[in-house]
Amino acid sequence: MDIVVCIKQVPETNDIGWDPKTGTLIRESTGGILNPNDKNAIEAALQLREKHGGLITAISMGPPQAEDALREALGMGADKAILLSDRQFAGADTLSTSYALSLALKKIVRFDLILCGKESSDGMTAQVGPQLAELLNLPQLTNATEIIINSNSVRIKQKLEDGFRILKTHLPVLITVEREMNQPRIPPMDSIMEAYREKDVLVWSVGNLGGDKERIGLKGSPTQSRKVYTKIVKKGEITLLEGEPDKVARELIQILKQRDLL
Amino acid sequence: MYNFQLSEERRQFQEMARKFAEKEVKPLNDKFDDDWETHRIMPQVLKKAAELGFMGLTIDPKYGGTGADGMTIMAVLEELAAVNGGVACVIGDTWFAQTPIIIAANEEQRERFLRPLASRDEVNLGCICMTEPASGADIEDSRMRLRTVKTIIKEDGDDYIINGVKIWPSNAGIASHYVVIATTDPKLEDKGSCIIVVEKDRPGLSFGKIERKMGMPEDQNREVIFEDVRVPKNNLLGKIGDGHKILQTTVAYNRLGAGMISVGMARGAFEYALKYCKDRVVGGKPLIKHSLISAMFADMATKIDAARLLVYRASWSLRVRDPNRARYSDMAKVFPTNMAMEVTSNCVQVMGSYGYSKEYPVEKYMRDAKIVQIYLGPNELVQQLIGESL
Ligand SMILES: Cc1cc2nc3c(=O)[nH]c(=O)nc-3n(C[C@H](O)[C@H](O)[C@@H](O)COP(=O)(O)OP(=O)(O)OC[C@H]3O[C@@H](n4cnc5c(N)ncnc54)[C@H](O)[C@@H]3O)c2cc1C
Ligand SMILES: Cc1cc2nc3c(=O)[nH]c(=O)nc-3n(C[C@H](O)[C@H](O)[C@H](O)COP(=O)(O)OP(=O)(O)OC[C@H]3O[C@@H](n4cnc5c(N)ncnc54)[C@H](O)[C@@H]3O)c2cc1C
Repeated sequence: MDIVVCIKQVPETNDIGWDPKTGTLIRESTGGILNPNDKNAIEAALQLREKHGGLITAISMGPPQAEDALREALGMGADKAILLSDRQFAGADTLSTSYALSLALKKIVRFDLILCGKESSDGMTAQVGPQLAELLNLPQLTNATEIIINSNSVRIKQKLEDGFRILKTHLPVLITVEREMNQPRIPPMDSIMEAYREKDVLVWSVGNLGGDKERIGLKGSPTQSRKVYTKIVKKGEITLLEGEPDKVARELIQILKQRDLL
Repeated sequence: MYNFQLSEERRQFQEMARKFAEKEVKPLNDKFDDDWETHRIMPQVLKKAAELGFMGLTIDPKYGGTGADGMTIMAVLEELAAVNGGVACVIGDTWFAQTPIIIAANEEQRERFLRPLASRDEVNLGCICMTEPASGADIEDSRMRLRTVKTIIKEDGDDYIINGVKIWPSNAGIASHYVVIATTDPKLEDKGSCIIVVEKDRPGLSFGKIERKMGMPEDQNREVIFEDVRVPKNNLLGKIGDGHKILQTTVAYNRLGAGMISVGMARGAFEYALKYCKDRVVGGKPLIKHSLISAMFADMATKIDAARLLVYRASWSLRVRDPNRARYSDMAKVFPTNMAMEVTSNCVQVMGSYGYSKEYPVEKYMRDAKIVQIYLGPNELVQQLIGESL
């Protein structure tokens, strides 16, 4: 069973730098990491390969540095890696990202399963997986916490807001996975070394993909984020009310009334 | 020009080691002290470490290892020690024991010894046997030319017969391979010196009781006793007379490792204490806002960095075979180990009695830090060697 895992490189979340004036990400200030949720997708692929055999290809669209995320996927155990990288991809929204990925998948031809994370830790739209399935005209199973494959049939446990449901379809299929699906493995040392010394990351440009140039990058992106900003949380003063509960409660009501909150 | 950023490849190793330490070691940290004699917990940790390829990190892929370069190995060691200095010491000491084999073994010996030591399927540790009851620092003192060694090997047909007692070696009793500093006759000094590998199951090899120590309960230290232990001649690394030279190179490759373990421990204690001092309010404001405390942290942060840079410089100098590499490695042992003692002790200090309490992790770093000033050449000896090299 051949699996393609879509992965995204995201900024390390604990120290994202926003330029407060332009509202854009200050990329230099942060190291890129593999989107944590995509590690679950890779882990799921590795477990499925252990059971059913086959090849795992990791694919990512991003700037040249996104190669690092692909090397990490190779270190975890992916067999091949493809980077879609070209200045023309820049400024892509989820739709144009999905479109570029769909072209790459058509070029790969042979796959039985596409795995995506549910969402990225930066954009967090959770749109790329479903859109990609639509563009490829494949069934989509989203928010999986469990995947069971039996010859040609696929069953997942889907996480809903207030419970779970079991969904079933057939291969080929696109599945998006939840964080709680598994614990991504720690890659063994020799595998990390192999990822850097022995495996290659193929780079595909717009020219390699073909397709409609109007649907790629900024041009193909109906959505543009105008401004991104961090919410400023103002810290107020803390007043501690002490004394008998009765008295304190009365005092509190008094204060709330004074401030027009009651 | 030196590049101060870890390459992406090294960063992956570093992250992997950090994850291993956080996930497989940290949750057990408060259990090791009570397990010093029973030693039930470490084997589980080591099994996981072996599976992930830690033991063979230093070994050429030709023999089943990873063959990482020195700087990668140092980055990994720091991450282990930042969570637990004892675990770093145990793994670091298996690499220490591998060094003479990597340096001096012939092809047949490399295949025979390094392949099992790199194994991911079972835990095969190395144990370097230098120290003797009457020869501690002296055995690592190049000027003593192994005159004080009392572990004697004698030729007997196709074999050597070994007699003697080693004291304190890390991984004693659990290791699969014992790399022994011995001599045909101490009076011959260099000319009699040699290093020989003894596999665990050789008759006549036995172990003393497990030593009870101030820190590093993860490491099992016992006497290693050789009573007419017979090993084939092709267990000798190099030839008789090579022992002193091999040992000096081995030590140069490992002193900086002791330095990096210290950097890791100091960082671990520092990070915990810093977080604590940002939260703990004393005299109406967080501790970190008190200028004396803030100055202590500034000083600690600077020294940890300085120590790390010394280690990386030493590692780089070994790779390019800089003529001063032995001195750089010595410097990367003395400064970081003294720094770690100072920093971990200060971390206890700024946390008050909570720092001293076993409910908090910093006191362990302080206890563990002490030994690194002593082993792999007590600092006074190493300082003297640095002085003489100037
Ligand atoms: C803060 C922020 C807000 C944004 N808001 C929007 C918005 O509202 N609308 C919009 O159209 N765009 C938005 N974008 C742009 C968007 O992040 C990217 O353009 C798009 O490539 C991926 O969308 P996502 O990050 O939301 O991914 P998601 O759809 O959340 O990602 C789901 C999964 O899709 C796969 N995937 C995602 N990106 C890639 C990739 N580049 N290569 C391979 N696989 C991938 C991964 O498996 C991932 O786990 C935003 C970006 C940022 C930084
Ligand atoms: C946790 C742990 C792990 C260890 N691991 C190993 C191991 O793997 N293999 C192994 O062989 N040994 C190991 N040892 C032993 C350790 O390396 C020795 O204890 C150390 O070399 C010091 O020897 P000693 O205790 O005999 O001290 P001594 O040699 O008696 O020295 C005592 C003190 O004298 C001073 N001193 C010594 N020499 C000089 C000098 N030339 N100039 C000035 N002052 C000097 C120093 O202050 C030193 O601390 C380990 C010990 C411990 C506790």
